[in-house]
Amino acid sequence: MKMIQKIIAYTFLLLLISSCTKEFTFDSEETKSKIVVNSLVKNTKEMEVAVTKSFSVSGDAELEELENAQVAIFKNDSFVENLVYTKTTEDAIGKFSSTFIPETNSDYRIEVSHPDLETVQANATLPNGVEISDASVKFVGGNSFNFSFTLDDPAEVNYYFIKMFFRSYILDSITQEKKYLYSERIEIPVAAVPDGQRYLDNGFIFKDETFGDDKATIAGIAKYTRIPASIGGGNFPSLGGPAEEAMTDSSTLFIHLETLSENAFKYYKSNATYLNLLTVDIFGEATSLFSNVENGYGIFAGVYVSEVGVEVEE
Amino acid sequence: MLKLKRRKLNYFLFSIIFLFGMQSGMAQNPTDILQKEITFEANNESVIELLEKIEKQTDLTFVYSPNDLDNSIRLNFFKKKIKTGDLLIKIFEKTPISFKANGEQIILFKTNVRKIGLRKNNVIKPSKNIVFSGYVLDAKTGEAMITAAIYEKKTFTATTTNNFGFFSLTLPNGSHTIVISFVGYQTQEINLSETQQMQIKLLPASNEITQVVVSASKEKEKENNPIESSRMGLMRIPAQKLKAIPAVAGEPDILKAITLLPGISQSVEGSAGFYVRGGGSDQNLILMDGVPMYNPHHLFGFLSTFNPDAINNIEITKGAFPARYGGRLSSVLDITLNDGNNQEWKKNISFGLLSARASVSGPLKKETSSIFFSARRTILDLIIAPIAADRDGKKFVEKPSYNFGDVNLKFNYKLSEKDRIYVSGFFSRDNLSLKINAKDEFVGTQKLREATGWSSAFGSVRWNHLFSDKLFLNTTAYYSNYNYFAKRSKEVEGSTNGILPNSENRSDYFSIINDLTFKQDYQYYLNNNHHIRFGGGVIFHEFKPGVNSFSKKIDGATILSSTPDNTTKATEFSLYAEDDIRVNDKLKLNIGVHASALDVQDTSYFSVQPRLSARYLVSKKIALKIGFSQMTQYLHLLTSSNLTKSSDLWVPVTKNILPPTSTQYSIGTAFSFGKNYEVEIEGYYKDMKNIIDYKEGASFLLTTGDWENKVERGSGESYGAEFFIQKKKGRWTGWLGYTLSWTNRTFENINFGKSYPYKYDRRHDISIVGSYQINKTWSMNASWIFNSGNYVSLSTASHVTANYDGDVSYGWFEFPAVGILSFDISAINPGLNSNPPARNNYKLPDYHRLDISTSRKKITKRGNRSEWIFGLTNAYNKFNPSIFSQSFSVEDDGNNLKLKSKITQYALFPILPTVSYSLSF
Repeated sequence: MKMIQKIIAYTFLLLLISSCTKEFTFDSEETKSKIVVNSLVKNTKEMEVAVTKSFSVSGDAELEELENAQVAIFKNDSFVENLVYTKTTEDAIGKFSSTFIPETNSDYRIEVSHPDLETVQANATLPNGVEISDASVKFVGGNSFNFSFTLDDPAEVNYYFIKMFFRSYILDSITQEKKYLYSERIEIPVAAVPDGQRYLDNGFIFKDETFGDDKATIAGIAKYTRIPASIGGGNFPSLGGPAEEAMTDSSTLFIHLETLSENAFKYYKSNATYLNLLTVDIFGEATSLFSNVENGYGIFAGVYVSEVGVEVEE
Repeated sequence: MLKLKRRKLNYFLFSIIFLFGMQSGMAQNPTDILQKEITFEANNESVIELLEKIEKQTDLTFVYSPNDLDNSIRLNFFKKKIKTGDLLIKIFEKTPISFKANGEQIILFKTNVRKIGLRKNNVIKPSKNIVFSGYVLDAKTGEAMITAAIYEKKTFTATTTNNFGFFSLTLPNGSHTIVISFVGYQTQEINLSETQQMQIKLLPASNEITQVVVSASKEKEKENNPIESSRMGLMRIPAQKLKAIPAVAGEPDILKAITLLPGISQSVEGSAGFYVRGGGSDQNLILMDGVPMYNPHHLFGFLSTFNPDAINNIEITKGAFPARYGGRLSSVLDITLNDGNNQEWKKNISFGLLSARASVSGPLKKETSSIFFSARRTILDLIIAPIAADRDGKKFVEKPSYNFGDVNLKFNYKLSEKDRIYVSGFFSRDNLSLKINAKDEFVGTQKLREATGWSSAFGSVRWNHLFSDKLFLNTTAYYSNYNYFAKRSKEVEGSTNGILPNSENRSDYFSIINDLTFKQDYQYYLNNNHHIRFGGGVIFHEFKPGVNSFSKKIDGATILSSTPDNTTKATEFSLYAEDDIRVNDKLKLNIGVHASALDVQDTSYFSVQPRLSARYLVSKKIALKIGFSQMTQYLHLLTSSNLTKSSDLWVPVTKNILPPTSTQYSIGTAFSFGKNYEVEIEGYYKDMKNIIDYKEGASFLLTTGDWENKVERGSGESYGAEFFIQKKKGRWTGWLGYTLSWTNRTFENINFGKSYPYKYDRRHDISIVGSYQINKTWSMNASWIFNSGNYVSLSTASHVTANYDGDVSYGWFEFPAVGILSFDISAINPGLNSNPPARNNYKLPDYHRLDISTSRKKITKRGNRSEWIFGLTNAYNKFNPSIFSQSFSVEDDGNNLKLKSKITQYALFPILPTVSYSLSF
């Protein structure tokens, strides 16, 4: 009887499962490769653009740089120059670089063409920077310190990214000179940045909605945690060196402020959501990465960087 | 003297038969019926008891108004053979009651002419009208017949019965012939010249073919005819039709059947819910005998919790909502359950591939009280049990199981001619469980128990009261409970060598809704130009959305116990008034207003929702219609775009989450052609505000208390056109439905503020349902459904991304495409992005499926009815995917690492033969 029951059960299951799976194939139009442009236009350095090709999520995938792409830059609708491809041994991906440093309040347009792919373009404006003033930092014990500084928030809608860090260094055994390696992570409290969203390196991205059109003071008690580079601490682990021997220079706190264009803000925000999804709940709600590249993927947006060092009171 | 009386009555009787019998279309000569001899005796029995006795001994059914009979009179008869007609004469010889034969029915009526009028200043003025009211019942079962048509034969002045079988028809003074009809039942005619209240019992047609052929003609179904009705977006499925529609795995199911109607979309296979005119599944008010159901699904949506044996009537409204309905934006599915057979005991048993069910119904006191009980249980777990358990001797036993079941109980009692009480109970539960017992000499005995499931239960009391022949009241009180749960426990009984102590760990996740409701619904049949409904109610809600509870015991001592309390209590009030107005023969209106309020977290919301629908008769066969309705609801169902059940969470409106609202406009036409075809075409536009959705990147873990921070508020719109052609009569019956529609959503912080298509934005939706009655025994049924594919958020390409320094990096392991249910991945690199480029960016392949079945009905030698149904689900084996998974692998070709990615799609049904059997006895 049990045998008959088993035969019935197996037959039933076999019937259900048979021919129930199939490999999914996209329409070719959906997955055809597109040009990917990644560049944040900054006031601190020449323009650098990574140009690659997207690949389908189904089937074989091979990342391909587009070294022979033509990358043209226009400023206020006038052609400026074609960027030149360079790649050092330390670069994971080579970059097309400009000979000029971008200027604020200028409209830049990038056009990238490649013989095998559809031409893409994107626009970016480098916003005006915002000054940091009235900064003060004082240790309150352990790894914690009080901090306070003011942003001169302009009247229009503004977008920011902020992070704080101490620098780490090793001493050259011969010259006893400090060789700076990477920044230490500092956790800014959520309450210090209303409606802020955490982004890389315990930074925050935020809009100035809660500040109004006035000066904004950001203050609170922050703490820093030293994470050895060997387990992923710091920003520049690839610089190498005996990270475990590194010392923290806690005499000066660096405040890194980025005034973001709207597109840069959207990109940061969507990327922050995506990264959070990776670390918190990979089954979480779907998110999309912002792109302003017409006919392609990636980001081409302006970011004004200002950084100040503040002496720490003991 | 006695002889003389008998002669007079006989003469009268034959006069009645002569006058009325000929026109009633009887199959049998009425004189034969009354000449039939029976052996009869009675001992101090009332008139009604005598009538019941005669009904038992003969095929006769008596139709009468209990008010007309003096039931206090007790009669005695010595046992003897007597003609039926003579017996009736004897019973009523000292009363003003006379009778006439109509087929196998004997209609009893008063012979004296009573003056009806209003007394004012001691002057009696004759009334201008007479009122015909009462109940229409199934003669065989005593079940109330819902939406039976009652109309005056010459003028077509008409009404229909309500959900309790009650009707009231006002007519001018004079003689009238009233026709009572219902599809599948023999039509009955009654002559009327004065105000009467009656119980009318309709006999089912003798077999399936005649059932549909002899049923009321189009004119006779006036009020149920879409051309006649002022309502729009209204569809009905008779209970017997439901069972004739081929269903998944051979199980008749109401929620699957309604998705074959235009404007109503099914979810993906294997998930719950249906979608009406672009609304979410939480926007459907599903009423079971007036009680809202939150998750009426078994087996993750394969089946509904509505046992087909328990259903009397199904009605779904998609737009132009009458004011009596409120609380949801998109539809009202009103399911009425059987009251119970008050004539005789009937039992039914059925077996299918998925479940077995049984029901029993019968009179506790004939004509006065009846009970209905049904139960259903899956048999799937019993089938797969032998291969599901994994055993390793006595040391390790792993036993997964899935089972579901539901129970319906309904009792009704006629307290008096004006009062009837109904008591109902319902319980359903699904339970997916895993039991693991492991024994180890070092670790000891470990028992792991996991269970996921949900249950629904309610108890309700309803009281019908007739204030007069024009004013009907239904009072309802109910308590309902919905509980979604996921439980895990681990017990360790320490080993004898004491390596581990005895311990017990428990973690429970649950989401609970408790409702306590009191409401009253009045119906006032002012005259034939005004049918007024008004009423109101209050619901006390208690929500406990997504609670995580933990406890830990070591050696019996509790060292950790936590059950957070996130209870939200809310009180919802509603009031409504509506009037069905017949302005003239061409124009009919339904005007009303529904007002509701919610008191929650020291915040009050108030909403006034106007409703209007109108019908204008262009000709006898063509009607134009318009409709307008505003709706508000006070709860949401949070559903992930890429996962199903476990992330579904019913949550209330709070002080931060505003009530969603909708405004719907509709316009349409209904017309008929040929003898049997009805066509309805409707266009609609619906605007939805304050709907919510999960934020991008929202986590579904640890949801206790923080769900409000994970949602976004936005809007939606949908518009489209629906076409429906139906043939109700003849050997061939069925319908064709087609929907062309668009629906989208807009949220400020989702999809970068751009509108995107709703998941069930199905451009084309076609359904064809057909039944063919081959002969008295065999019938064939088929349904074919086609709809455009769903939208999903699906990654189509990977590319590198920039960090805030503008640098790009990448690795060979990446995050899977979001929107996919499961994946296999060993590492993650944020430098590569495979996110969908936009919300719901990808349209899946179109869906279509054919289900066919054939039914063999037979009456056994013992007079029992049996039915075999053989069928094929997905008859041409169409591959319709409903689940996707993505897997990655890395290959080293010596120079480079190559990432290989594969997306696999799963369909739940290949071609699936089905068989079911039922026996009624």
